Amino acid sequence: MSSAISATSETAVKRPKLINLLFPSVITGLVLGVAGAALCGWLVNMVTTSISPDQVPNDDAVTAAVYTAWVLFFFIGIGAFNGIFKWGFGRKEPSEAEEMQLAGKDQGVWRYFRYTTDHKVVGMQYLVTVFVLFFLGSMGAFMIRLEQSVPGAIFFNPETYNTIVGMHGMIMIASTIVMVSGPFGNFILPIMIGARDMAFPRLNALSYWLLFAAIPVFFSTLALGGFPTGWTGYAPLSVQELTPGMDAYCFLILIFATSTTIAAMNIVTTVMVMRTKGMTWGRLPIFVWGVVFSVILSLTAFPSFIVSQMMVLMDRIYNTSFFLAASGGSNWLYEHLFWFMGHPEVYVIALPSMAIAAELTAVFARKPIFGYRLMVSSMVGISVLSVLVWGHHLYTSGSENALGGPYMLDTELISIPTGLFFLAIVGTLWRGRIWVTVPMLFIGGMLVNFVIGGVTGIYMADLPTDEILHGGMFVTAHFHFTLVGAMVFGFMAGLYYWFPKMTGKRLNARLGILHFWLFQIGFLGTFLSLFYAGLQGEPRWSANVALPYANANLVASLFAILIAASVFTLAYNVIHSWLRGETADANEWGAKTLEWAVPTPVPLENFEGELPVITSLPYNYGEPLPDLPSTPAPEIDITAVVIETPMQPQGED
Amino acid sequence: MDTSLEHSHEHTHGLEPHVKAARARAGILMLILSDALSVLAIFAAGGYLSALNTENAFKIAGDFAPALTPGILIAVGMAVSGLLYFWWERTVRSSEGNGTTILFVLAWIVMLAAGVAETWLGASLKYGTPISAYESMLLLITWSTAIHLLLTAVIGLLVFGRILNNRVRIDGLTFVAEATGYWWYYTVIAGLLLWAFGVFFA
Repeated sequence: MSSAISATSETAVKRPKLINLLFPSVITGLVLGVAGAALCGWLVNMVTTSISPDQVPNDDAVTAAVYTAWVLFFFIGIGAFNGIFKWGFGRKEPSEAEEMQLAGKDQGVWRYFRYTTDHKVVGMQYLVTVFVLFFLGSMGAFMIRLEQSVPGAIFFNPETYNTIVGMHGMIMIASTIVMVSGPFGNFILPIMIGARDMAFPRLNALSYWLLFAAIPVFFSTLALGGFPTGWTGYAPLSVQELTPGMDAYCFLILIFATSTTIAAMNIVTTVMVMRTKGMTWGRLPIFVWGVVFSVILSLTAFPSFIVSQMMVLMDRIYNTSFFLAASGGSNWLYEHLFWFMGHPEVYVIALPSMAIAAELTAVFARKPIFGYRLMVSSMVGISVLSVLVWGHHLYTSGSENALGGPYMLDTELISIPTGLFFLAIVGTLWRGRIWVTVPMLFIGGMLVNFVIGGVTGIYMADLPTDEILHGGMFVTAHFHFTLVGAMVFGFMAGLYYWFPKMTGKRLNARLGILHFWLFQIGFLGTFLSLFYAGLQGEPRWSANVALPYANANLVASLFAILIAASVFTLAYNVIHSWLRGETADANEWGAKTLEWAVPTPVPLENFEGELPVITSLPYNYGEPLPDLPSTPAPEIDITAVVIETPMQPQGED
Repeated sequence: MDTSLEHSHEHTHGLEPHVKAARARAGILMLILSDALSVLAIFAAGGYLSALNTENAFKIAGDFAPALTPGILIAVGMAVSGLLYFWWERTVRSSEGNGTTILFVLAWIVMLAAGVAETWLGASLKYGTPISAYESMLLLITWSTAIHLLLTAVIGLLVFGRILNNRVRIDGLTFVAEATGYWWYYTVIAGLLLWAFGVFFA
């Protein structure tokens, strides 16, 4: 393989450089996508006007045509169909040189703007996209807090406020779903299992560019009247809502869910068939397990969501009645289909973040993971139970009252494997010589926040208390503690940990510590205040704060300033470190998983020469590294350790 | 905790053939799993709305199902296409090559015809608006089946291209025919189940 890489005569780009750069690329994708969307929109407008008895176009059909054409022509323009066409009608299999060119060889920064198949390029594309989306979502959150800082309307009318809340929710949910499996699942995971790339490199590029194509669809809602339903898109409001912004919401879900499904099948297949010799299921790093369970859950959960949005679109365009009671439909159908995705989706987000925490705890406690098999079993338990608990979101809907008890039971059962997982993390920390780094700070914050989020979740799971708290600020505070306080903190730990490997630059540790404390203090202050507001009885979906809840909301908004400061600190740290930061070591943390055994920057095919052979779990830290607390660990040759150390009974501690 | 796939899978130019085969099988099975769950969601939605019968309006007087005869013909067509594909796949395996191409061509033509017929069926359903929940389900089932059949016809066209260029066999293995077959058979089974569900509804 390596000899093939070095055969530059084979891999040389033969076409003129300018044409090679521009076609196919994101530029041609955008041009063709916009042109195709405009043309199809015009055509469907003409057709629907001509067949309508009143000579009025079907706005929903026009919007649907525009978005369908946008996606189709964007992918033609970016060259996504070239590989499919060659697969079917090419005279021979792609040569090594063609594969290397598709992987971005010798294309510099421009490879990030093309349909590049290299998993590291896709990982970086996801990372930058997640950063941008998080930043925009955070700005939405600050606008919400600003509006809610004092009673009465300040800046926004209720419709604008609803749109901002909906967009904030949608951006954040989408971002958190891909925040780990996108950047780290693509960049790090294949190296961790000893693979040279993902199982389906072209599908990998497709999954990212689908996400990219969904972004303009999402922001077009601003020009189309927004989607006042919030991120859940509840029917029948979504069907009765006249603005085409709701069509944009449905298309966003369809595109995003397709992207996630493709990414999931790719990741699962990669781990199933691309592991290097000796990388048995029992020797997979815990992070890999977390990502695999997460994407299996998304494979299972997202189809019902896709079907629900197809039904909404049919209701809007063709006047069908899936969700209209007067014609035999039911809003409960939407709620079931939505929450069958919606609750497992929480664990789609949670599992990889929890796995990051477990992975990094072993590295920074310089100890083998405590209860490896227990952790894997916990994730199995969480995955199975998470698809059985969606009904607790319908406690107060009037649907399936008889099932309230069973749903309450299995919702509470899920806390057992979750608790065991976090107990195992604490077990790993126990008597370890803990190296307090920025990633470790975030893991500490995650543990604190998850306890609060988990304990308050019990009140949501119990039907009697949920009857009181449902629809209030208490719920908002609870899910922010789990999704942000726990899961985003886990992502941040992973970011500070893997950033040096992904970019070759070290994030500034002082700014990282500042980022952590601003975030943690701001987060606790904001959402503990909202717990109080919720206990006072403040409803979630109110544009204006009522007088009894004014103090709690003012405190929450003041603490949110600290979160805002933490976001800007992180943004500055990332940009500054990426451009001018210190060069990172190949093994920045003295860790033993395979991604730290390859050079930085990581070569195109990850491993120079033969693939490694694995004989044990990567957590055989015999003793703490010397002088760790103040300085980064020196680079050590861990390849030999990984390859030659006999297998130890890691899972039986 | 050991599997047969845990091996060094390097080849002179890329992956070893049996890893490519395993990859193709696993990828298609993941796709089928995901799609099967969406079909299951359609069944669940239909069953749920039927059981709820909100306002006693799920199915009202005047609601009608698509004509039975075209549906039977399409169902037979799907089954025949599946059998022809199966036969072709067997000849591919036994001959370690392209097999009897005419069998594949017939399977593809029948699949395409079934897809076109299902599309015609969906387009010719002139339901008055607002369309009741019962008729909404039938529309969804019809269009879902049509999309599945047409997608499979497109995949068949790509495979036909490979047959013409003698590329069904890769590195001595015929996993392209096998993995495509998984999807082909799944489409037939899902299409028949959706049709049976529609008939049951009627």
